[in-house]
Amino acid sequence: MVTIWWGVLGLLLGGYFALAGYDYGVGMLLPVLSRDEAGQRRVLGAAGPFFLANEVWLVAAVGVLFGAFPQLEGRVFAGAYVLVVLLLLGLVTFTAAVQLRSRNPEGNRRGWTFAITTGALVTAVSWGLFLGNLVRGLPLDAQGRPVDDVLALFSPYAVLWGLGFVALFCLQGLVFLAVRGPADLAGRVRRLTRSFLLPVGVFLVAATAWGAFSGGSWAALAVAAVAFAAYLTVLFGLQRPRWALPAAMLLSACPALLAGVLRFPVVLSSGAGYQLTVDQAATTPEMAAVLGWFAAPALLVLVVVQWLTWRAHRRPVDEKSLLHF
Amino acid sequence: MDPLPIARLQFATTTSLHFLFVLLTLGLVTMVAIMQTRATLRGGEQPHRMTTFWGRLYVVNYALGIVTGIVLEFQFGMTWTGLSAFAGDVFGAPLAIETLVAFFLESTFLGVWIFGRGRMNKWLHLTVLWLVTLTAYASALFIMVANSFLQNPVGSRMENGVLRLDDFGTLFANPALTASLPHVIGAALLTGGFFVTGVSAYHFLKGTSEIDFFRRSLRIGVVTSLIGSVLVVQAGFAQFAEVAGYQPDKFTDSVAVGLPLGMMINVGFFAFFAALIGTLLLFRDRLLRARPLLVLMVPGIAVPFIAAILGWLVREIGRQPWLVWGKLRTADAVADVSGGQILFSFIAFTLLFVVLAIADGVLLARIAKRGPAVAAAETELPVLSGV
Repeated sequence: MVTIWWGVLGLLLGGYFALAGYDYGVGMLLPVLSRDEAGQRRVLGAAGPFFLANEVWLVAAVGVLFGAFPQLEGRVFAGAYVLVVLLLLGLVTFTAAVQLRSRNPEGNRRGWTFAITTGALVTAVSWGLFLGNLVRGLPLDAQGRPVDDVLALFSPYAVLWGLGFVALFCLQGLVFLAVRGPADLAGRVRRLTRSFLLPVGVFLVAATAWGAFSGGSWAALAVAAVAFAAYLTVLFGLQRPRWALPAAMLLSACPALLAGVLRFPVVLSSGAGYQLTVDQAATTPEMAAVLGWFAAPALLVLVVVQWLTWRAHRRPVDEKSLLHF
Repeated sequence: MDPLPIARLQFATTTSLHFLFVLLTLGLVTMVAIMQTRATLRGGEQPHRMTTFWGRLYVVNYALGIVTGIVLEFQFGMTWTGLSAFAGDVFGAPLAIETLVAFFLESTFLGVWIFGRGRMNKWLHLTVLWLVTLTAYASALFIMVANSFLQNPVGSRMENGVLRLDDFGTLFANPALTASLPHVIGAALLTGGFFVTGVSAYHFLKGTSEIDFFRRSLRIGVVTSLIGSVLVVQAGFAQFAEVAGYQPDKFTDSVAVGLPLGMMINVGFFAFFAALIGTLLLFRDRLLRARPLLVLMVPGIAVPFIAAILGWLVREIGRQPWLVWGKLRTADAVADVSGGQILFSFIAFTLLFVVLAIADGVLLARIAKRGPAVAAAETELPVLSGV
């Protein structure tokens, strides 16, 4: 039962990276993709119909983390305090800026565009640092309390992940735009996609090779294999964006899944020897059952509604598209 | 540096801001849903334009509710680790259900509503907006269930030093919830009503040509204010008897609670009488000619927000030093994060929120001032906007 809930958490978090990842990629590249206002609105409008439904996967994941694994939530957020703060600052800036940018027809939008780009960049770097730390082991003491050393969160391995995530989300955003983006930007999108393929490949190889020295499980190896398969699908599937897009989304979900299965059933560990297993982290079976009664139908409705939304808006943005953002 | 006061201040600041935004969101979405229902049922251009104009203001405000809410959700794990360790088995469920059932669905449906305008069957589009409204109320319900549990931890027992759930249903029959939930919903309707009334009054003062549009809006605003204020005052007083049952000394011991309480009650009565007079003057549109009253309505937009902050002060200060009443002290729940780090995050969050709140206020004011006519002719670019 506990394992199922761990899977649900993985599904929500994986869903978040698979969906919101392209939002951040589009956000980071917004000024590069188009300089003029009409172009930038069409780029934002490509992600528009899905935007509000994407980031809430994270909110739901954190809700399940709190509800189903109350002993884990506090350890991991307090243990990576500064990174979580950076992440939230980025997320808030990005989310608010995307939603407010185009609301005033007369307003100057350069400030909002800057907020979108920086917000997305900070979000991407923070996620990389955060997950890199989880994979390496959080800097906690033997009792699982955070050590008062901010710099410990910025180990070279974590920094590699921080940079890797920027490339990863950018690539994902570009592959998304190859499907949904306006036709006149297709050439630029294709060129930019090619330039992000190498950094993402380097990140994958380096993170895997470097991480392998600290030990891993068969499940982690499987996730790594899936990541490489997804990467190759993107690499060779660029002419068929309908294949490349799901592959790029899967690729973005892989780091979070890796952090989840790496030492399972240990779900949190530190260099100082602290370990928390999934059973210790979980809530009581009664509570999990209550949660399940609400979560299962809600998730079903969501997946159906979001899939229908995708069906309705999967064509590239043209002059008849509603943009809103 | 002691992390406790900074962590409390950080949570209080985020909660207060979040509460102000969601209050207006909840009130506005209800009124927009009623407007769209009229537009769908009877047709006609004016209800349709009203849905668009007030819906636009609602969507702007919604953004700030989301982002402050995300920060609030994370803070439980960042600074109040003792809470999830001690009461997570009980307190975690309503919070998790709120994010999954209510918030997740609300956001998804809102996206469908924005981008479905003019492209969906009109009945389906209306249904989607009512689903947004219902899930917004569900959010309020589950959050108040969680908060009420902290005020009065029912339905649980102590076991090996942590709280365990006895009966989930009991959480919904909590005396700390039964009167406070209608109180909060009344406050939301009052806030939305005062907002729509104030904006409409502004346009009459400016000699608008959209007389029919704002006459209809003003009516809805005034009537919603009256319904909201009756609910808020009635449920407010009903709480005294309930609170006496679970926190008997709350209002007798502390001056810090008494002062905001007295102010809130005065504001509540003021709002009720203002809404009552406004409703009476709706007869033969006398309100439109009562210029001094229109002048008061514009700054009156701020009144429910002030009352709401006072209300949260009463509810939350009166709870100290307990985080979970009688079971867990606030001081024992704070995380082992250094005071310096929490101070950094407090300053950073507060600065960011203040900037965003100002931007949100300026945007709302601009869109509200521009009115429906210019906004409908928004053709700066070959771009179609959803709302």
